[in-house]
Amino acid sequence: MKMSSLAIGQYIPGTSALHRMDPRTKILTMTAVVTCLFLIKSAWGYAAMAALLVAGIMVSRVGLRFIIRSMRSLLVIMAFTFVLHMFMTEGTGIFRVGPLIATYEGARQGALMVIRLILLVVVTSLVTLTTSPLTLTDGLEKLLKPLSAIGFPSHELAMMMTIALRFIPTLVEETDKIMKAQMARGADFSSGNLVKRAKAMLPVLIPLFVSAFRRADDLALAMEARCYRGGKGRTRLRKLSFGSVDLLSLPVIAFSILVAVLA
Amino acid sequence: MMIEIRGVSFTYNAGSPLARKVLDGADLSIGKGEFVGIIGRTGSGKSTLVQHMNGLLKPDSGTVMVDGVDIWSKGAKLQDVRKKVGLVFQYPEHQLFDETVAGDVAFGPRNMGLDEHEVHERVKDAMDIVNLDFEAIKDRSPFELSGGQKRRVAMAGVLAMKPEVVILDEPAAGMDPAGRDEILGEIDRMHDKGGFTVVLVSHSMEDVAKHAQRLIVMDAGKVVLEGSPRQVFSEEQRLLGMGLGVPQTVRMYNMLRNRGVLLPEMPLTVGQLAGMIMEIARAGTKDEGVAGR
Repeated sequence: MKMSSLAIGQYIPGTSALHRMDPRTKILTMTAVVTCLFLIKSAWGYAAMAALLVAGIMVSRVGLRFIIRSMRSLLVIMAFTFVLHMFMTEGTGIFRVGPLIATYEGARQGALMVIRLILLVVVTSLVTLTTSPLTLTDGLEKLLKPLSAIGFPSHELAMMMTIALRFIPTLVEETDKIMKAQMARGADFSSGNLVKRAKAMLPVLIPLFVSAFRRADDLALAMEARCYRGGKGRTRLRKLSFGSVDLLSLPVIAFSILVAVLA
Repeated sequence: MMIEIRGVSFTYNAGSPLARKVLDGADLSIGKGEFVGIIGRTGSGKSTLVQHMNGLLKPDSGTVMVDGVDIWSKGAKLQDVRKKVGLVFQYPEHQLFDETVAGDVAFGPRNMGLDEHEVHERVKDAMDIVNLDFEAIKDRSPFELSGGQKRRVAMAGVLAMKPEVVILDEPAAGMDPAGRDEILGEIDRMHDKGGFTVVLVSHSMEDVAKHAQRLIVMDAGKVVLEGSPRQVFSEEQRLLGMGLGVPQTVRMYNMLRNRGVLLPEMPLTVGQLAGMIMEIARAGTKDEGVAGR
């Protein structure tokens, strides 16, 4: 019944070069690398990108364990992608299941797709594992700032994300507590059919919603009491600034583009 | 023995950088019909300990026996354990969910598979123990009640399962002094009239001093002191070292003793203390009268 296996978006504190990099740099670099990953067509390209990301993991010093953990949640999607490609691509057949024929070309294509997915997860995890959620949303807000000229609510969006991220662990803890309280009253969440189990969740969901609304009210009140009135004229305690570490991103972006063009 | 805990250790988030060892070889036992107070400062492992008593948490090592059965052995059923050991969490009003008070209190008994007549009786009895007017509020929404009433409804929800042991984790947390006294008075009644074995978890010395027959003091995941309130409170220096204090009446008793006034025994309530002081004062004026000063 433990719910702490939420690995995506889990920040591992540290002092590596990746940790010290400005969040804006990380977001931009990530965007560049992700775009390049979608442009690559050959296996060589994937190999080159994989090497780059392995170097990234080594620099970040977060430990392979956490990277692998964030991959686990996508296992089903990966398996699904592979099977879909294997059966849906035309070519020389390997075996058949009913009307479906698995092909060599499909298997190859599927494998590359799975590798692409893995690499995508690694890139994004490298960012989320080395950047605290608060810094990340700060960076995002700054990057989206130019869009506010055309009415895009960049500050509000960033604030919403910050609050949502801030309350995920709180809600997880709360869920755990309420589930335990109802289990102490004989509730059973693990047996019965789907309908029965969904019904069994009601005594957990209702108190959870009630407390989420209460917390939202309290938070709104606390923010107003501190004169929060949106992003206008708001100053920051910690200003983001580019440093020499950020220059590291240049070779990374250059390498990715080179790979995308050549491979 | 109703509950026996032997060498229980427990670590939250074991194997991750966030690992936190909360229980470190805790040993204790609770007899049938006892009123035991468990005290310790925040983070000493009290709440984690009581969650082991009805099998909500599984110890990393050590055994938990309820009514002579190891609850994690193959034949034991956790559902049965939870029928015997009722646990009222801290801020239990946060777990209310049903549309009506009666429906919420009936959640536990219904999960036990009792027939509706029996459920009805139990709901009535349980609400009676915690001083709630069954007829007046049974059909109201629990969410529109006052804070104190909500907490009582939640407590009734556990009592309605008629457990042999009722564990209450900080039942008076966040209540005003009057509400505190009422709730604790009801817990006294659960023990005296209801015949429940009661385990009261608290960090307030005053509360446990007044109500519990035996105290268990936790520090850093271990049981460090055990005995009657007077025995435990006589170790004032050790308690202070653990970030705990003694009740104000005991402090007064010690202060008077240091000044050469010895009260007949350690007072546990303000009433007792006042009575003893009055007695000595009366005796004192008599003596002085004789001395003719």
